[in-house]
Amino acid sequence: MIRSEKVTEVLGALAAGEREAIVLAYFGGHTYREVAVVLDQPEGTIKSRIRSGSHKLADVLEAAGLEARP
Amino acid sequence: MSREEHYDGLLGAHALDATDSVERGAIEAYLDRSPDARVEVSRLEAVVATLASTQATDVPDGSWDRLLGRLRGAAPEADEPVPALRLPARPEPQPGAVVPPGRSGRARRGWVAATLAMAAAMIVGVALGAVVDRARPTADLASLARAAFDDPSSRQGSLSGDAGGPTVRVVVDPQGRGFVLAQDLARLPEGRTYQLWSLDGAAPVSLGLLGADPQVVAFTASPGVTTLAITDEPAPGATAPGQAPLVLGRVS
Repeated sequence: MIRSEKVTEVLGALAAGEREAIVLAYFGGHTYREVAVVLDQPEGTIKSRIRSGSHKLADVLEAAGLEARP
Repeated sequence: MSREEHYDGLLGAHALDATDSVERGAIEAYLDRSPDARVEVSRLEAVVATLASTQATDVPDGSWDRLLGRLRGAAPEADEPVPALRLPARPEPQPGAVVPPGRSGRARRGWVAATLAMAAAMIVGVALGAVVDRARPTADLASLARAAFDDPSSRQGSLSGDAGGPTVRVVVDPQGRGFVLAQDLARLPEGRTYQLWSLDGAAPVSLGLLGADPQVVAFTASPGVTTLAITDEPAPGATAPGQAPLVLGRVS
């Protein structure tokens, strides 16, 4: 089980723009197009932030030796 | 940009289920012919699943049952099963009940995600934010709100949801004093309240309760607050959103 402090640390590892895009897409249930409208950013920017932020999350989790649960 | 590059760019959004149904189908077809893309998506989906399962196991005893109780009323779609939460069928809306606008598959997924967000917020110990100022007469608040909207140093914006849904105007002055013009929101049934959230951090932070029939409401936030949302919560409010936002937007 991942400790709660680790979850906070993992999310905190993201750049603000990445975290904002992922929070709106994942926690807010919005498509990346909707996120782009909400944040007034190009769709390509949001796509990139979600992808890079997701990979950073994966890097942090894997570096911490945390078990992924597909 | 080639079609493959376009699909590669969408892999992160696809893993988060943040693409529309047409793109989802096209990307799935692309994954069938691109092993590298399949590997990438599997890696990202594992991250999402790991975080979700972590949040679920970390919440205090009994909290998850209460979260599931709050979700009664959400309707899973036949083409998008939600095995993790097994949402019950949605009952017919009661007369006078406020039905969130356009609860489509994505919105329903949002309810699930919002539940996970609620658990996440519990984990990081997010506390209720500043108490909304509801003591002053509405007329007084309206004057103060007008002044704030007229102040060129204030930041303002509109929070909205699905097309045709309510729109809420928000203003925040340089000191972090804000006003919500929420007349567009329908009156909630007894036992429910609107709640205002900041979505700027790792987890939603409550900025206060707006009540069941808000008009002009004051709140206090960080002067740099940017992304705001309003949810419908059980009174007297929640420490983290239990529903997907009814309206959402930015002040700038």
